[in-house]
Amino acid sequence: MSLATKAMRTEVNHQKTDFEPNISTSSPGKPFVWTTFTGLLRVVLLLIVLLSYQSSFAEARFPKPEFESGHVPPETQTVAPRAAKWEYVDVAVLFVLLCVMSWFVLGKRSRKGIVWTAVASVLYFGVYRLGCVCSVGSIQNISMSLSQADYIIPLSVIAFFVLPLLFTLFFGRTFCAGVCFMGAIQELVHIKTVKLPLWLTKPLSFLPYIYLGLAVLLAATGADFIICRYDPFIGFFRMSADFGMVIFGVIIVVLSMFIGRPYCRFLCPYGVLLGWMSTLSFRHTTISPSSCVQCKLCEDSCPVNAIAKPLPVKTEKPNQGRRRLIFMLLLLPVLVISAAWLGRSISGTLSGIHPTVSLAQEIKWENDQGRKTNSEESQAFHSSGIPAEQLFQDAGEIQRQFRLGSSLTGAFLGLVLALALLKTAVLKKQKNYEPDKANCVSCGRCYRYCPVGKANSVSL
Amino acid sequence: MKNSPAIKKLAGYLALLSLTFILIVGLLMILNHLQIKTHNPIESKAIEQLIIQLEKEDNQQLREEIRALDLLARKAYFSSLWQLKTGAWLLIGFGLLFVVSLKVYNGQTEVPEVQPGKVLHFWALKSKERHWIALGAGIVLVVALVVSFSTRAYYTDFNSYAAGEKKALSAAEGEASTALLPDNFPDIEEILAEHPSFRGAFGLGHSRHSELPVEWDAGSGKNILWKTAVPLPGLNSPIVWGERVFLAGADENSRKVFCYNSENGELLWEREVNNIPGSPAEAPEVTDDTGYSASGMTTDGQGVYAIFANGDLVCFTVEGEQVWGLNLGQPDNHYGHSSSLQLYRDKLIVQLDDNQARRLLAILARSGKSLWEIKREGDISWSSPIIVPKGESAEIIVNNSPYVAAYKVDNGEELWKVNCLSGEIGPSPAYGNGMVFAVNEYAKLVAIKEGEILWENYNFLSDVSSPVAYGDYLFCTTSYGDLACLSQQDGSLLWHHEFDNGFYGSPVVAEDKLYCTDRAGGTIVVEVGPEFKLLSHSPLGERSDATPAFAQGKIFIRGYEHLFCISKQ
Repeated sequence: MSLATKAMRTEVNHQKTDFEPNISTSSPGKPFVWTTFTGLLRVVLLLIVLLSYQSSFAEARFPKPEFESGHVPPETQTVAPRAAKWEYVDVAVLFVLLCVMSWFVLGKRSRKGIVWTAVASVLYFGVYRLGCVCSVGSIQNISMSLSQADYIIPLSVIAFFVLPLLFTLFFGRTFCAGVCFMGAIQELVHIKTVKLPLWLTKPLSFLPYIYLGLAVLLAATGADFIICRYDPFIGFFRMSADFGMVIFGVIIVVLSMFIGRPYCRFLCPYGVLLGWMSTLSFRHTTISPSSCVQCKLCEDSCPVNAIAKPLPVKTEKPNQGRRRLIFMLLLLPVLVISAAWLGRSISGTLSGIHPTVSLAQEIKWENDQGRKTNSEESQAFHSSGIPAEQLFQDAGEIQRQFRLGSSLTGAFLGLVLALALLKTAVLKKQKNYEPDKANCVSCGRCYRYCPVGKANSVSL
Repeated sequence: MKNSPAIKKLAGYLALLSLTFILIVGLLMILNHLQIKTHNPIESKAIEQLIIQLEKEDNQQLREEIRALDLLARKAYFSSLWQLKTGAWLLIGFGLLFVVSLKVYNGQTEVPEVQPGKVLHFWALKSKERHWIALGAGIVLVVALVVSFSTRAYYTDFNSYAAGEKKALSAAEGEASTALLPDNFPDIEEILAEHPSFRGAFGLGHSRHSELPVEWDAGSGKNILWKTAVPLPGLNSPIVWGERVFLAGADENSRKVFCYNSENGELLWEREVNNIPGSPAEAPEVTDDTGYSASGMTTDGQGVYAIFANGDLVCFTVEGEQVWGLNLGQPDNHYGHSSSLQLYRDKLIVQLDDNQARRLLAILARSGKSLWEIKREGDISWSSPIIVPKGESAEIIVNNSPYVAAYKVDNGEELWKVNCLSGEIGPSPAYGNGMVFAVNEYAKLVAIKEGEILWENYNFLSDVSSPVAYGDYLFCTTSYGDLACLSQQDGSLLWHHEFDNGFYGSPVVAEDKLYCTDRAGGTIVVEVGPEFKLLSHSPLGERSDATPAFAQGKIFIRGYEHLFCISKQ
């Protein structure tokens, strides 16, 4: 804790001298709110201090045995646990990159700066750290630590979960801009934007919520960490992956060349949380450095289609809008309850993902058929001495957890759907071309389209 | 920035070239992957066949041939891995080249001219969005419903399944028990007249038998009625009902129950305990001084019950027919399970402590069906429960670290609990004059009445053998060879004698005499009274850690290898 605090304080002190003059001179729009930044820092430090009491560091629990014969045990072949000090380094690097990226996005409005920060992120978190630890996957650790008392979450994982959310709350999705190595890869390989039609993007935008719900459910029940298992990029860095995952990764990379951030937009579960935070963000990047002149030049510049445009509002029939709103409000509880029921109805199928339930199914099949499958799982179970009844009881308990979890997940998805529909029934008057805070990934591609920015640059 | 046409052209060629390489390398890698998957050189069938041939005939040439083939297979396998790894690097390299060249070729997009087009008004756009959201939700709904209904047939609800299984099992067991065992149980007086458990009836350490020998010598055969070898080792003590003596024995591979004729030592039957549902395939790890069969058996004169270190619990009729068997889960016990069974009317009482949980179970003796089960606080112990009959019901007294507790035999309800012990508890509690006595080495000896500590003593603390309360006296033996007599009322020491050998077996009182068998196999008989009066010290000729059992005119002692019957000649 003290090391991390010291490291962060050093970085902050160092950044402070760099920040202030640049902010006051080069920011063409509103002045950068230094107090906001220090406030954020205080919150982060306080949070780390508080959380450190409930967490521990991922260290080997037992020393290696010493053999009287002089036998030297071989080094482990899997990745060794990260030493505590290096966890602090990871957190410090994340913090520094977030600071730098926020500065490039909000302070400098520099696309080049954003790109080079993204390269640095890929090199550190991807090439050097092989994609672990990452903020996207940390959702699962957090879920598991909240639901399972015996799971002790490392402090660094908490930091990886919290820091991007806090930065997003203050500065928008600067984490997505390129600090996230997954976003960075998609950003760097993007060549030419092919616009996706509304009929495709709208249904697909529901997928991250489903992925989030499933990831939380499966992690909370101890079934699986699906975000890590189905990470499309990690195989490239580790030079090792299932054939299917290699193909999936290649598809995502190829799509990223022509479609803006396909993983971030249509899969990333952490992006859902960041989107919520970004909607509430105190500061957010803008297309225009000062005031929008409505020249429409930026209209199609966003590869992720996150520019909110001013649209003419046609007068409707009297009470039509009100009726639509009331209908959507009435639909909300119906959708939540129906989706909860649907979630509950597929809980049995979902519980089959849990290894204990899966094993129980196998042992039950063996009992029914009167013969053994001879799978490794079955053999291990039979030699463990655990009675089948105990296994079935455990599986039953897990299924009960799944019933509750699936119902809650269903209700959550129903709520998301209802709110999305409700949003279409509420009039939002848009005066200027502005980033859609929830979906904008702060990549800065739109900056150069704005003639106001160019005019300011010339005048400066 | 705008690139010159020459650079753009070069970038275009580079992009095309790198794409071609990517496709070729990618295709080769896929083929390589498929080849390894279908024909893994490490799992060569040719080598397997040669190995089978080698097992039949030891042939040096064949051996060399296998080695050569194995080397070849490994080389092929590692070459494939190398190819895959190199291919991956090439792909990444060419991929980067492709992206960079395409970026250069594409150049920087010009800021577009604004094309006047059809402008969608706000509500029209929202209407479209609503439709597409509804479509997405509809697709999700259909997928969820299809998944739900298509997988329903393969899904088992283990909550209802486990309950159904238990019900079916109980029904089957019930039928079996009706056929093999009568429903009636012996009354308290009948039980007290036998030696049906470890330390006699209800584990209290008393025997009502008389005409017992006081002195014997296995070497000369004095008062030795018979002696018979026990086929399997076990530290459990013999139990007796009528003319039958029961023992259990086990090693890593086998578990057995033995029944002997008390008159002549004839082995009436022995039964292998196997085919127990859920019984683990591998034996647990136990220490030599506990073994695989340390827990004492129990009987009601109709059924005889045994438990082993792997959690197998079995019921035979006294004639040797198996009534039921079940596995309670292999105890995670670093020495080995050693708590003995107790029986009260139709309830078989099992203390099942391990490092995961401290359980006390009541199992219906006729069917093996669980009646109740409670989890106790505290740490693992190796002691055994005792039963204290009270009116129409009874209390079960159990000790572990740090608690001594009493439970109602009918439903497992906790009656009282005292925090007073520590360490690894081996000795079982004793009972007399309404008081419970519990002891452990490095802790203390305590007297408890209705959940209140009456007195404590810190001398002559046992770590294995259990104390016995009789009359106004409390007798304690220790593994250091101490035999102490204390007053039950205040815990004061009445007398103490030190013997050469320590005690693991527990003392038992019969005919107003205290019988204590030491680890060398010698049995010390002293008179129960306020003064130490040694009556005899009789050698067995082999080591023993068991507690003697009694029948009319007979004493049964289990040595490490033999079962001895001692009777006045």
